[in-house]
Amino acid sequence: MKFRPVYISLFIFIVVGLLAALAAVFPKEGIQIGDITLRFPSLQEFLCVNEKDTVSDDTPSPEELLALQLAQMRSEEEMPFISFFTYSPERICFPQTDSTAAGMGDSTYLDGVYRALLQADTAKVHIVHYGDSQIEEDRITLILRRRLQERFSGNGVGLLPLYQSVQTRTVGQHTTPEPTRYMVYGMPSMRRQNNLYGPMGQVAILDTTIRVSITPRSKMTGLYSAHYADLLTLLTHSENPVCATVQGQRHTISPNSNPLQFTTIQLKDSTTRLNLQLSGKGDIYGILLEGRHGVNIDNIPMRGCSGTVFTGINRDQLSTYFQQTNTRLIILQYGGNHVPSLHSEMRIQEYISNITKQIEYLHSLAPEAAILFIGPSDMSTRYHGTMQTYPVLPGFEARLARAVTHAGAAYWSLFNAMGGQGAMLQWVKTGLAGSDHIHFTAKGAEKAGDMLYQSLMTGFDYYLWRQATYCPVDQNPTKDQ
Amino acid sequence: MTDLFRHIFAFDPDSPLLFTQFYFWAFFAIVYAVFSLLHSKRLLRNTFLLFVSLFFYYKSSGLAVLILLFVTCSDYLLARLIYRAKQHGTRPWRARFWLIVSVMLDLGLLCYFKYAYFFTNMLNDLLGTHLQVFDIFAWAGNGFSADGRFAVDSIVLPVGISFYIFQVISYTADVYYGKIRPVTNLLDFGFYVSFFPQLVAGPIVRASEFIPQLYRPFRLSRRQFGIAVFWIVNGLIKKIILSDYLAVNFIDRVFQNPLLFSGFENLSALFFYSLQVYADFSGYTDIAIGVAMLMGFFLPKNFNSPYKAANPQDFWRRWHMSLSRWLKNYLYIPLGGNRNATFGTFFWIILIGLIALILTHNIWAVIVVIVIALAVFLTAWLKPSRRKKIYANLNSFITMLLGGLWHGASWNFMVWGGLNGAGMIAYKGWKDLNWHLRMLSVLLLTCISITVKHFFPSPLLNILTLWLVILSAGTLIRYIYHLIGTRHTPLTDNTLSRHIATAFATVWAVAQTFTFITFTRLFFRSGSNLDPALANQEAWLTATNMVHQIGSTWNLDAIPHIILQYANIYLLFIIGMLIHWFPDKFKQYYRLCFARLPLWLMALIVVGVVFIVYQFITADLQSFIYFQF
Repeated sequence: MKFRPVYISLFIFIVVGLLAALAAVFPKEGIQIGDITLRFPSLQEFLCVNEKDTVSDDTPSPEELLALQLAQMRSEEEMPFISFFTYSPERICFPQTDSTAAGMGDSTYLDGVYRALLQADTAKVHIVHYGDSQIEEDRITLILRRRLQERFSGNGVGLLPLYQSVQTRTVGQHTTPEPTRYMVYGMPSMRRQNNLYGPMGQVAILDTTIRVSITPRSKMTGLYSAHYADLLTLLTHSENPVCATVQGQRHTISPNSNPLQFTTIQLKDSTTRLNLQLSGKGDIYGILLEGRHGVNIDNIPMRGCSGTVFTGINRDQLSTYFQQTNTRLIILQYGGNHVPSLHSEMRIQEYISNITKQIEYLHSLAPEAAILFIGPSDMSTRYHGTMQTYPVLPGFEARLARAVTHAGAAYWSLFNAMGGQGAMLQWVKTGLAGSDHIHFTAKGAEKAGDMLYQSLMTGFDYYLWRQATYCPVDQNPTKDQ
Repeated sequence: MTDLFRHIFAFDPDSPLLFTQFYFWAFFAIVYAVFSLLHSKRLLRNTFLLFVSLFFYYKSSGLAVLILLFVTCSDYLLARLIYRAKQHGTRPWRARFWLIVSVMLDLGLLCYFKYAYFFTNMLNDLLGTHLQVFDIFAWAGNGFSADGRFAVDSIVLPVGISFYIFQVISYTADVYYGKIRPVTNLLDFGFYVSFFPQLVAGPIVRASEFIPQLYRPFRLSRRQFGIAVFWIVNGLIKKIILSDYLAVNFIDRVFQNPLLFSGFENLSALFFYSLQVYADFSGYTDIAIGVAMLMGFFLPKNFNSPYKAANPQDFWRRWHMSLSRWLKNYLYIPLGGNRNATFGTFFWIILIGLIALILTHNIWAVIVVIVIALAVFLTAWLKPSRRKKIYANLNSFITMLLGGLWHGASWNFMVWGGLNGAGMIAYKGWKDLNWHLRMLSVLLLTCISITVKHFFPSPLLNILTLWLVILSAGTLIRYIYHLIGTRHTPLTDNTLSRHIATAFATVWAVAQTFTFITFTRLFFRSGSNLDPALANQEAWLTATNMVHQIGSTWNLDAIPHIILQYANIYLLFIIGMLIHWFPDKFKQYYRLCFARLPLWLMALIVVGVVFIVYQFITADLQSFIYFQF
């Protein structure tokens, strides 16, 4: 039987009509059935395609804004610096003290870091970058490391764990057999009896012969310098001798009561695969690969962590590490993991006071180092059927910034640098962030790393300008802040 | 008002016209209303649909519609020239000449858009220059200026160009080989090339299948109407529920950051991706088939439950069938097919060697390709009895490699094509072995893999060894059954045991093929279509990171938690695969049941499906869950 097109057309219009009728009567807030909310668009939403999902492209990107402001700053006097550090979304917010005027804060806070960077061609300058999964694979850190090493000299990839569960973009690491590990973060079953977790917040137990091979990824990606280190330092704690064979050369690490023992071995050729064999019994806290001088940055990601674990790490181990490595800047990048669970004012308050405690603890362990806290990025979720920033995030982020700066640390708002509320949608759209609307892609991490570097260097320019303007004689001060 | 007008008629790269958008269906309702008035006037109907198709393409690809028009006009004229030259009969070279001109023009356009980055990189590598790609079409659009509305420093691939270019090549080739006569009316030919349901994602329709339909009056039975609605509904469910939901809530996250996830999650994502890519592509073509059918045009089936395939060869007969047919007719057979090797075979081997050289920057790549090719030819020359088989394998391997390169000029697609080609050849070789040799070869490979893994432990070897051990176990069971079966006739006569054995063999073969195809997609999912340098880097990192996670020690305690946390995702995958594996007869049965439903009930079901599909579009995102490993 032939079916006439006019009937088909009628059928299509009836279906469209039924859908329109459903759209007209369906409650805007949806119908809740148990945990599920049934939704249907209104007629207006049907006609306006994804209006809420898109972000205007007309406004300049944070990068463009930063570039514009940087250009302006370099051509004028102090006012642009003050303006940048008071109003710019990409600024580093300096600690607020009673003696400083509200707004810019204590702009000399990072001077110790900058002074050390100026001396990097003859001495070691160490930076430790702690964070959550946003910095896994050496993301963000590697850009900061590369830029700083290019500008102030230095090589090395920083501190690596004995067993790398998440491979980085900088070095390939293979450890066999997999050692028993304990962590200060993550599942409670990963904890150990004492608090000896070392500077990485994780420890590997050496109880047999463990072989580690580390290969620079320069050839594969073409991104990194082939020379990844001159010196290898083993971070251990053992009451028995530990035997380390590096590139075929045998070294014995004698038992020592120090909670964190440093054993440095000079590498003959740092461009090829590094083979390390460890045997004996003891705690291994990490393998530090660094140059003889210059800048080096550790990338220490703690998956699922909110940054409230440092007080759980042995104080002597942390302070020894910061002192021995001449750590001048500690970057803490946390907060994102806490956002989805911030359902009450009490939880927000609890988290903020916990972070304040961590900053005070780290300050007491590394008085010579500045602390820079990087807040959570913009994160989106589906809310009433539309992708948008977590409603609690902007307010939480602003409070976190206030609390950090009042606790005497600097703060860099990744949230604002990205473009503020709704920026994550744009980042996902342009391939800078993944479809989970939380994590950056490699490209996005590169952009974030670049923005962080630019902000730090704006501070450096300001430092140089202040040095030239206010104390032209004392060009190379040695005393820190 | 102006904004609304612009929204409806102007091209917006951020919102192309897609089957999954409400806008498309509103557009289609209006088009169909007009179509129902014009359907009996053939020329008017075809002309109307041609302009509708051009508008559809403009909304999807902007000014690339001019490329579509150019290809339509040039191939229309060239096909007529080919036909005229053939008719004369005295100067066959002329027909060949016009055919070459046509193919060169079409492939030239395709290469420009698809391989411009590849060729630019190649020139820069060879000459040490720093050339950048230049979009001459954007330049022309700006009034022959580099500044203007269109960016000239990047080339955007026009939507569906590969499909319509292949379609016009098949047309001129069919005219040349005398399979069809050229179309006399340019509007009819334009309609064939640009028919909107299949323009963007196929199926690739051969002229001989479609052009006769242009001259037939509209005819659609009540049952066919029901089937058409079924295809559309089926396609929407596949595309939005099985593909998009799985992708957004699980697969994309893992592929973008494999190291954030455990080995089990990586392996799951790889298998889910197999379902996603099938549901996405076949869902889109199902809708295309349904929409075309409502207008009385019948497009060929493009997928035939590919994951029911029992071997790689069978898989390619079921997957993207229109492309497989195209490659067979216009590449594999001209290369010599299963008869012999031709100039084309040698030409492509050398070209593939050169591409390998360019991609690797290593002379050894080309030497390896040439040495393997020479060894193959030498074997063929020394063993005439096997010559045909060797040439057939060589030609099918080249076809698969070029099929890979068609997806993009980068290593990942080449490896993907090569793996599929190797899989097909390995299967053919396996088929020719007797049971003793099969058992022996699998055991030997397993032993080698275990030994190598022992001395050079790596995640890749862990995966390979595990797979080979499973393969050996399955082969051993079948081998024992075969031995007992041949010695004790009563067992083979036992119908039940024979059925069990056949079922086991089928499930085993399907599982092996599905796993193999899934693993080849490690290289398919990653990377970009355009910039080979970026594609290589992305693909390499994604593939190695995924292999690392899958092949490293798993935290087995976390697996139940993972499944529980992602229960909806795993459930959806299982349901999707079960439906996929339903017997064809059962699928046919419920399709017909749907087609026979009263119209009011059918309309209600469609509304119900749209409602459910919308719930998946707007469902809350699966929250991010960490599993330490």
